[in-house]
Amino acid sequence: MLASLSHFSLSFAAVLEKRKEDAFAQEAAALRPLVRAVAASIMREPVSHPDVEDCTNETLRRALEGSERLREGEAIRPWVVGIARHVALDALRGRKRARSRDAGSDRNDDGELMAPLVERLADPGDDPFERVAKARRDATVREAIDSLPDGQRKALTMFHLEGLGYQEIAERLEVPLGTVATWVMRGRKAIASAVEDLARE
Amino acid sequence: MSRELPKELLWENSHASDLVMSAMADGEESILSQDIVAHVHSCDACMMRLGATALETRGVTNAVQSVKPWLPATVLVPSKKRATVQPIPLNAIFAALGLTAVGAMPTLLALPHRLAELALTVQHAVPAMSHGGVQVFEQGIGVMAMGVCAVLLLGAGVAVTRLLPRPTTS
Repeated sequence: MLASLSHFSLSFAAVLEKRKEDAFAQEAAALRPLVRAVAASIMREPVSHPDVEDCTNETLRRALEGSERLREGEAIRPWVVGIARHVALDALRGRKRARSRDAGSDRNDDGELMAPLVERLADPGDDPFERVAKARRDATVREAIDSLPDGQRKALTMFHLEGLGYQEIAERLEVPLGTVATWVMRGRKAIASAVEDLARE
Repeated sequence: MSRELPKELLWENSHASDLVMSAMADGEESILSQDIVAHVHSCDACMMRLGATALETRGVTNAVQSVKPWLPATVLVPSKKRATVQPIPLNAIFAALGLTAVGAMPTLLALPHRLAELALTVQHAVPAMSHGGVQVFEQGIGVMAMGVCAVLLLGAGVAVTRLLPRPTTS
């Protein structure tokens, strides 16, 4: 009796786990176009390029296999975009090594800096110089947020910090959906531009 | 309130507008018309821009979240949906209730018999105990026993308050 009960509860737990994995797989698969876009953007190749497709598949494979590393409450979208960025940059470096050209350089074939914003907004490590840079960047971001018009600031913080969707923000602030979309986009551009200016100094 | 963005905001020179890129990078495809989403997915230039916008969005998300502790309270608008409400796991609850009912079945089946036994025991015990109590009080032992009990309780109380270590506040 006890054995059959424990078998039942184990099967039940397995079914729940399987459902969770299926839901995650579905959500990750829905991000395929976005992942492809990120890979194409970093690799500067059309989306139909085989390397872009390889990066997309590799990203989704890593996301599915590493789904348990996603922290509780963490959004899947930026996490998967982060994986895509790593995979595409790795592929780009691999390609450069294969061509034996500009080894170790972050410049592309035209001599331009590659995806500058990507690097400037990269995740900081434990390096002291990086910590100082992060402190400066945080101050810049704070200033940029403070200087935003009220509507943009509210929409941006509701979206990025509270995880609300455009529709919910529109209802809460009692403004049209198009206004929220515009506020979020402009607010984000202002912050990205402030960070870029800092990097240029 | 409309649930889709107006069409005039979607297109720019036969390509998707920056607003569309921003919305798609944010996972807000549901507020866009199907034709603009289909265009972005089939247009290399738009896909490149979408990728760049997604990276910028991720970077800004990280940047904004890293300064969250310093943001003044006026910036953080009170949330109605601070944490998403988890659905009640009804299946798990019903499964647990079912298992409990199966486990308790033997006890539940024997319950009427046990209740009858208990009633019989009470029926015999109450008169015997009350008879014994009356006899003790009649002989004057009751008052002395109460006094002894009171002294014992006081002693135990003093011992407990004096001997036990005090809780520290740090």
